[in-house]
Amino acid sequence: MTLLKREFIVNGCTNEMEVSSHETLLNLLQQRLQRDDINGGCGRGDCGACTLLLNGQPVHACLVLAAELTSADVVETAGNMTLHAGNDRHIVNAYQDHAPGICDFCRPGLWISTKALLSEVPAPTDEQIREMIAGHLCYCTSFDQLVEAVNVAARAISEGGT
Amino acid sequence: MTSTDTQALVGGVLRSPFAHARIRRIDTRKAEAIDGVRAIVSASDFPGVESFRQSENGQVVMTGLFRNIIAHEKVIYEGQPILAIAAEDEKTLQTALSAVDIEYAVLPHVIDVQKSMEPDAPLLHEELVTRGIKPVPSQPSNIAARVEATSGNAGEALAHADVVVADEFTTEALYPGGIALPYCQVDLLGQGRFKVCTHRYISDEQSSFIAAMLGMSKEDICFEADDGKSTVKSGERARHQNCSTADQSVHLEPMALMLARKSQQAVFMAMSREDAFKATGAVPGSYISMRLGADRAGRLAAAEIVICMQAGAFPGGPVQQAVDAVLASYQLPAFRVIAYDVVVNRPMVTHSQASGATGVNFALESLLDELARKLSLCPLALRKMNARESALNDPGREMTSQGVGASIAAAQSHPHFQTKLGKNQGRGVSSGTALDEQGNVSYCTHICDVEVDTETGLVEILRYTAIDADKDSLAEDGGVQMAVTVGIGRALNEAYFFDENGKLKNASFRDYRLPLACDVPEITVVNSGSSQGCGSTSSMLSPLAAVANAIADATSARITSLPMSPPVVLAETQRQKWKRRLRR
Repeated sequence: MTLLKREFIVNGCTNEMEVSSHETLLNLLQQRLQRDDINGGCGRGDCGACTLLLNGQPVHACLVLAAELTSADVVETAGNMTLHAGNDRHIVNAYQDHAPGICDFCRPGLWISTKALLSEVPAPTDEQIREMIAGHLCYCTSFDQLVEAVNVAARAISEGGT
Repeated sequence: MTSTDTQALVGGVLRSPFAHARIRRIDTRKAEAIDGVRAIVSASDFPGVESFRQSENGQVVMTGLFRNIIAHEKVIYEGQPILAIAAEDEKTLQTALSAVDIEYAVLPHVIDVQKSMEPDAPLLHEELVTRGIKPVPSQPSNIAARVEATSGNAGEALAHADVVVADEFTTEALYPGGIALPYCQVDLLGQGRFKVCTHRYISDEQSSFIAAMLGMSKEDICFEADDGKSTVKSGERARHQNCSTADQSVHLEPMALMLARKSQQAVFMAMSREDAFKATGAVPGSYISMRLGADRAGRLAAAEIVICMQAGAFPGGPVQQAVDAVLASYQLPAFRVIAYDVVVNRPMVTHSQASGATGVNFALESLLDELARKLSLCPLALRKMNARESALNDPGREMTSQGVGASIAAAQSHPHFQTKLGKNQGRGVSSGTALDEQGNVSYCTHICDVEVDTETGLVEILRYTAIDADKDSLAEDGGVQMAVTVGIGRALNEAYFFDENGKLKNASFRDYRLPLACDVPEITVVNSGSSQGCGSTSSMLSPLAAVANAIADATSARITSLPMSPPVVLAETQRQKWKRRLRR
């Protein structure tokens, strides 16, 4: 099996690894980098649990081949959002306060999708938020509470502060 | 031992490709010879099977639970585990699984509950004789049990009732809703003791069963729910993260334990999404025939109900939940309820979340709506008039709650019930009562407004109010809102599809349509103070009839089979149009 040398950045740290041609980014992050802030629920882009940011855009890690990565690629997973004050912290806090029932399985992907949505649409409508949530299969808390969490995060970010 | 230095073997399961087949021969020699294969286990490795067979009362149910975990002599549904292998890595595991040679004798199968009850249906279990019938039948059948609840003379009361409504209802088996996937890791503690770390808590009853299956003492197995600090590698945990909605039944643990015992190494096992669809518990489907009689004022006089419930491949479907659901909400002076527990070539069903009450609640609340229509009564007034004032008809059960009536009264005075409707729009109501495993009772009444696209049959939920929840809390409200969402999905979209060989065709989230955030409106939750801590359970039942009743209000089409997908709604609305034209 041919292995390909790849360099890429995950949450600010540069990684240099040999990857096989069929290895997914999800497998690389979970199995080889041992990250537990990204989940896999379907392996085919249906459930949204493995959503992460690739160069600022939300993608399903199960549908990205690790071999596609270049040294210019920046990967961000949900764990990075808990590390710093600022906009990310507003999102994390809003989910904690307004969607308390959400479990560890769906939460990382939803945080990431929320970050992507709010960076593009700072004041989304409820319809836009629901469209974003529709990319995630989550049945441990209510969609209404998820909508509220995103609205609260959007307001907190627009008002600034940490 | 830290979370990263565990070198657990990876375990995998070989599953049945057939819905029904006898296993003639299993040859594992090629798989055993593969470098890196450490253990292979099949049913014959488990000493527990014989003790289950010999136990008088537990024979049927316990043997079924055993065979659901690992097949013995024959396979009874597609996806049933046949054997498990532990290997050093995933690639070796997959090579070994494909090297196992199994010779099957494929048998005719049956997945439909009514067809399974026919005398000439393919027999799933040669030893299965119907319980609850006297004299005991001399021949085996697919009817595992018959349960009857009777009060008064229902037949006579129906004959003298001013109004009688009757219909037949069918509901499909449903995916129970778990998004996270079951997993477990078994570690060796030394001196023949093991630790099983799994994605959820193992009950005392389940741990006893697992120990019995392995012929071990319960004290030699330590179960713990994975709390993130166990020896499960963080990467594996992330693949199969803990989640409250994951399947709660025993599946992998006995096999992982036996693999660890044979190999004397730690073993990690996890299910794939396809495995979870094909082999974990489903909400049972059912066929229900129901007759309700009432006087001119709308007071219920009697009910005659037959429930045929799909238990899945093994006996033990939640038929008692179904019978309880009939009697839970309303006062019935006379009733006769007969329920059958019927085996079919599908995965075993689950008892969680009042799954047995799903079909009955849909049927009963649909017929109550028809009764109100026939008598030109407000559907809530009819329900209120007949509501039980306290609780279930169980003298042994101490009840403190107010009964379903409080939630009906709250619905009557809610502004939603007075909101004006437009063209092709309709309003439906439905009540529900559910018991959880701890004996708590929850009551609810729901109001649902829909708009039906008469060109396509698509149903849009416009407004939804759930009167439920025992206390005002964010978690409680969220639970009710999600229960309603799940119920709406079950009402409109969800169903398993099997091909002509009994194989599940939609074993993925792409093909099994769960409800999404854009499918449902904001759900209003009103606290009626009428529940005791399992509010979301009853709210999972009520949306099915609330949506059906709203569709009937919008289109005059009474839909009696689930799901009410666009083709079903369109066909029924067009049938109603034809009937109206013929009457002109």
